[in-house]
Amino acid sequence: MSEAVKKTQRSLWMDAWRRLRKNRLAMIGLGFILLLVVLALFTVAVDIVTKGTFYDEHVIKQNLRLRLQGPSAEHIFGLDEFGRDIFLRVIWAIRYSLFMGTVAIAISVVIGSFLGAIAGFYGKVTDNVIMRIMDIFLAIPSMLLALAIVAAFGTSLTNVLMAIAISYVPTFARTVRASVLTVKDQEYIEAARALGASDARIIGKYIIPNCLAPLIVQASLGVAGAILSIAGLSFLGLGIQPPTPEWGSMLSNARSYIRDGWHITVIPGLMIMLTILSLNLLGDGLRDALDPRLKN
Amino acid sequence: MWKYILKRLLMMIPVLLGVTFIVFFIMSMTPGDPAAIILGDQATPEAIAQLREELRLNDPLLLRYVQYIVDMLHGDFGESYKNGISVASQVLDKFPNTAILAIAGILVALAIGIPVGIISARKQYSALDNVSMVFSLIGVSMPVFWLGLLLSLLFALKLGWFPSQGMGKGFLPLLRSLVLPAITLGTGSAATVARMTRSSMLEVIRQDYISTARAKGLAEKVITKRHMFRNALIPIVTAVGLQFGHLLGGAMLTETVFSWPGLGRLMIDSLNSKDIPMVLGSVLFMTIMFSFVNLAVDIVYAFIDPRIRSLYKKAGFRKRRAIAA
Repeated sequence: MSEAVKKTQRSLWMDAWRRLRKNRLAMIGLGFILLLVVLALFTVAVDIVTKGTFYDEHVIKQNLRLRLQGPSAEHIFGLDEFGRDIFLRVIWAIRYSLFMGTVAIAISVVIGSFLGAIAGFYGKVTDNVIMRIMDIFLAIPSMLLALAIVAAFGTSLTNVLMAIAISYVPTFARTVRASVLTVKDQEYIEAARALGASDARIIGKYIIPNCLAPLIVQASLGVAGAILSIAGLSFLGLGIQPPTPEWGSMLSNARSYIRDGWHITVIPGLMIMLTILSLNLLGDGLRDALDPRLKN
Repeated sequence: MWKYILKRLLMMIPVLLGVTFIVFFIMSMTPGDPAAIILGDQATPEAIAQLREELRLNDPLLLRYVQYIVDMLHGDFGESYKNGISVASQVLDKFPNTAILAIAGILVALAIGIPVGIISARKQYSALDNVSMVFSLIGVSMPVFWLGLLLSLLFALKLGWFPSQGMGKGFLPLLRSLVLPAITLGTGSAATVARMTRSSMLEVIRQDYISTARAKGLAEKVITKRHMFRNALIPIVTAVGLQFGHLLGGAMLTETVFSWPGLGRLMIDSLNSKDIPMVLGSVLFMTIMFSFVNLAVDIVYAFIDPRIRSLYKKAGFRKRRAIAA
């Protein structure tokens, strides 16, 4: 019997993948994200192999003689206000946006699903206490909450990460709680309990896997939001600090030189937009693939 | 109806108390001694100790929180560390500017989002629908500060149609200076509203009463306006209400791009100068505003949906609960 169950489980995800593959826009989004991941890993590898000398020499080092030079064959995206190659800086910045966005959301998915699962599973007082606290966090606009945290604890990478993660916890807690509530009275949960499974086992083994679909969709859209927030914080000077390359802080610097060259304003923003667009396309595609009922 | 509004207002109290506690707690973790920051480098240890006493910084956190709440209920949000002016007066001074920007942003969002959504739904899968949905996807994905920079690059610096910085004085200059910030702030929400309007309209379009309306010979215009749009409105109102929170975050960024003298700008400046009472006051003020907008959205539901309205008019509390559940 267990084999039969396993088989149907696997085919559910295979089905979803098959549907996702047919969605051309979602595949374009996925392709762009994978390209970014490969580029980011490549830059990390370059840093490790050259022990950071390439980074210091080409991404950080200023060359004021060539500042604000437009795109050319040698520097396809041109040079920034300090004469640094924008293409290299944009590529080196991927890791901050993409990995920080992903890690921040991963943290809030873990905390949020834990809280949401407990609230939904135990109900009553537990549910009330947890969800009222989540309501309080939801009442503060997420950007303001992130700003306050960064302002109080300082603008380090970890603080920015935690600020974004905390502001997304209530969203995931709500998502998971809602799907736990629909799942928890199903017969297979009762069956598991009759067989003597502990609460922890029921939640971890039967409830969470059945709540994964909405969670995955929410998470992929969450990463997009987190990347936007990181870029926004950096643009306000409260996120990643120069000279570290980051899309938002590149735009913040470009602001003062907006008259002198369009490329320093256009290119970092374009990278943010394409990344967010890809994640949104992928998120929409995942929603349609995982829950075909939602498709109109 | 009034009972419902009163109930919602009462429910806001614990939430706002919790919000103040969280923000107060976070801000109290700020490193550095506020007394030393106020007095500057030249201060003697005695003077700092005295000021700490005056500011009640030696009291336990919880006591300070209670004191803050009591003061707040008297309309006293403390004084700015930077210039000693009361926080409440500075916040109220800047708030109208942010309100103008936010309302203009919402208007842009509605003026673009709703017609685009309706047309897309009416002509589903047409070229027009595809084009507008692609644009709304791009609109949702655009960082608000980048859009602001691009708009000011093109329309302010290249073409010189609108000012790129600041807020104009007098009606016409104000309107002119508002155009770019409002479009910047409203575009993302316009895209969301368009997507929401489209999907909500599509759900309604297949209902039987639409066929009925058509069968009895009503003009398409009337059907769209009276039968489709009205019934599609609830999810749209929800989306607009939710957008307001985004707008507050976006307002900070938009105000930074266009040097708009609003609350967001005030907050960022206070953050940079570690002016804790200012930050605390402005975050709280914005959050309270946000809560009131959410409440207003819920009340608007009752006005546009007769089903909800009658729920609160006739049925007793118990029955209402049963229906809601």
